[in-house]
Amino acid sequence: MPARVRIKAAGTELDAARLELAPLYEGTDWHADVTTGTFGFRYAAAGDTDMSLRTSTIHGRIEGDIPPGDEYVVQWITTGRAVVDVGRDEVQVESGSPQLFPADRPFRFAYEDYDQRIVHLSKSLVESVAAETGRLTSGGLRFDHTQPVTRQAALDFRDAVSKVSAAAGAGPTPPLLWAELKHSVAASFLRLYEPQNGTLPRELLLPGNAVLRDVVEYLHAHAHLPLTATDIAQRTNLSVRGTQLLFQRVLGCSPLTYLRRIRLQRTRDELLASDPDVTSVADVARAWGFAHVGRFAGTYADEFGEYPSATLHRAA
Amino acid sequence: MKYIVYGENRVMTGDEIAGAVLAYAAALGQNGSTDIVDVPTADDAGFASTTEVLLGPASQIMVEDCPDDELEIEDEGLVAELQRRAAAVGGARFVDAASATSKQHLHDAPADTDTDDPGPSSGSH
Repeated sequence: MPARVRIKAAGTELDAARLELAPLYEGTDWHADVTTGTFGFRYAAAGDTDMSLRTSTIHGRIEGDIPPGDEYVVQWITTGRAVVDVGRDEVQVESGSPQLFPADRPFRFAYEDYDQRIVHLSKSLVESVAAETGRLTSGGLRFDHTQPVTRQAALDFRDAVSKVSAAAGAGPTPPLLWAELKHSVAASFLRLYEPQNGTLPRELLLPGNAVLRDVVEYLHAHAHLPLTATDIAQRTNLSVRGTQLLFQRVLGCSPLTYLRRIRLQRTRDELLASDPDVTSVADVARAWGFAHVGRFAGTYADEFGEYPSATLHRAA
Repeated sequence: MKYIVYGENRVMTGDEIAGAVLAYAAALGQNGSTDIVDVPTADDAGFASTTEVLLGPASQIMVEDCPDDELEIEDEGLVAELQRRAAAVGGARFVDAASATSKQHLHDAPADTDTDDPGPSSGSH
């Protein structure tokens, strides 16, 4: 169970802001300064180590370094000025527009007279949701914080977050609902920032391919189930033939061929993650819809350049 | 594992299924009727798939051995259903003959070809 997160801090002293806020981000070299009028800060966080929602308000100026951690941090401001990744890939944060903090390297930020909403998502939560939609490769996730976000994705993300606030405001959140809310925020985060090395073909990111993208995500999420061409077509609201043409035009293969590629990749992911002492290639192959280990091994070797047994033992 | 040889095509499937299909084909042939059966198999890439096979008086099918695989294609429900259908068209004796052969194969009993037992309930033809 992820541990509960609840933080409250407030004050009017520059040193207090620095000393109380920097440890929350394992930050270094933080400085707080007065702008106009009296300095003041207020910070609050609620949630668990998978996801927490936070608000931060400072009348004044604060800047500092933040090292990479085990969370993705997305924030937006409603008032004030903010620069993320000062001196490198600088982003001037626009009011109301969600902005991801660089997640895999240290960066510097500078904020002034602001009101900020922050969402912390654990990397493990985002990875598990990414895996469900086929965006997770064995190399893990990589995000580009300079990637512009679309207006719709920004609205969807903020909407998912406000549902969490609404639920939290209504009293203690039941565990099942909380899990669902976390999932929904992580999923909308993945639509806000497309992983750089996801397994979804790049063509799907074009706005005109939204229908196809939806069905491809569906295939990734349901690859473990027996799906027919009719099931897949129902998802697109097109005929079976129409769905085939759509796949053929953009991805160069039929829906069922695409599904087979997903399954072959998933056998590999599972072989890599399995313990050879308790798992056999046959078990994994059967789970992903294969009926013949010999032929499966041949297909697998053609695709990945090694036999499945080699992959399984490499994992040990 | 077995191949069901059908014309110039071979359908790979499990021993029990092949036996049940053969018995049902024999029962249909004797009875002069026809049926279509979905036979579970594996395609060239190894994925599970099914092949529809038309069985009837005019279909010449043959079952031959195929190298075993770690995964035996099995479908107890299908085998039971084929046996039921074979019995329904009066072909119970074919079922017994076929299951005797497949059991012998499954248990890897030493094949004594000189005294090949044609099965308990056959021979009353």
